[in-house]
Amino acid sequence: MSEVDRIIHEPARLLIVALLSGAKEADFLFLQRETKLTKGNLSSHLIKLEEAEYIGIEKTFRGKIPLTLVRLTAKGREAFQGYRKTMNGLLR
Amino acid sequence: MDNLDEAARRPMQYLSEDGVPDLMLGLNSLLVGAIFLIAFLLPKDTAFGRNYIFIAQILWGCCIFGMRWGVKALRTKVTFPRGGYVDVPNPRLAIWTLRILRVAGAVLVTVILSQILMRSGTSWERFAVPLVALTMAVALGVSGWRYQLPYMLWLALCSLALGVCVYQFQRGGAGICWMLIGLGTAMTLAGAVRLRGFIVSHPRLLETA
Repeated sequence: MSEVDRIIHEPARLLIVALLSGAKEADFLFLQRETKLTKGNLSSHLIKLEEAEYIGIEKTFRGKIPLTLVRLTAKGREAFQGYRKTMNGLLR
Repeated sequence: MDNLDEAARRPMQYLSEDGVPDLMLGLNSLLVGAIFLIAFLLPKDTAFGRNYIFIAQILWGCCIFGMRWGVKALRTKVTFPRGGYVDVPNPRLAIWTLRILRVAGAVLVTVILSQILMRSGTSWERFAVPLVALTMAVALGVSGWRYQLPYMLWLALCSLALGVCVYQFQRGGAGICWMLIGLGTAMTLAGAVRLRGFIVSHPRLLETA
């Protein structure tokens, strides 16, 4: 049986990666609204995904307002596709 | 796995739920209809009346650029500060090709239908309005059914009703312009209602992280 990716397997992180898989980039506010996580919770999940190099985070400004842009990396996309394949195999 | 597909489709859905594309497309259609209707109404015995069609084409181009600018400006000012910013990847070449083939297919069917009707002795002015109404109704109906958007099905019905109404008092090119004005108004209203709904359901947050 193939090993399940523990980083993506966590439901909140799986949702973040799934959302990012359909986007070129998204900001923190979009992810927070869609996942309904608190700021602290979302931040900690994003840090874990960034440490695994599954996402890239860019901190910038829109006018005077801080803006955190998040993108899925090639490694993250590959991991997400791999996770889906593994889960499909397990469910069959 | 269905939920994952749904989540992956969510950024694209999010960019259409604010009503901005409908609002700007409706305004564009309304303006284009009005610009070309003036060309039909202007007397052709004046220099301005004869040359207006060139001005109309320039105005048409301006409307398209205006629509793109409007979508960007409204999203920057209204949508993104409320619901967050998201950008979707450009469609792949295969998807673009499929879209172009669909449009080409629709144009081909319209041309063939027109030719059949014209060969049977019917003037193009008689069937122009019904054909445009039917084409728009099919396009709106298919999009509404495919993306599960009931308001688009209403717009499809609106297109058919408009076709019947406009046919009673105006035919030919001017009739098509009235169709664009009517349907543009309906789309603008639908977009405005959706935008208002989005603003109410997404109160502006004072800060982002």
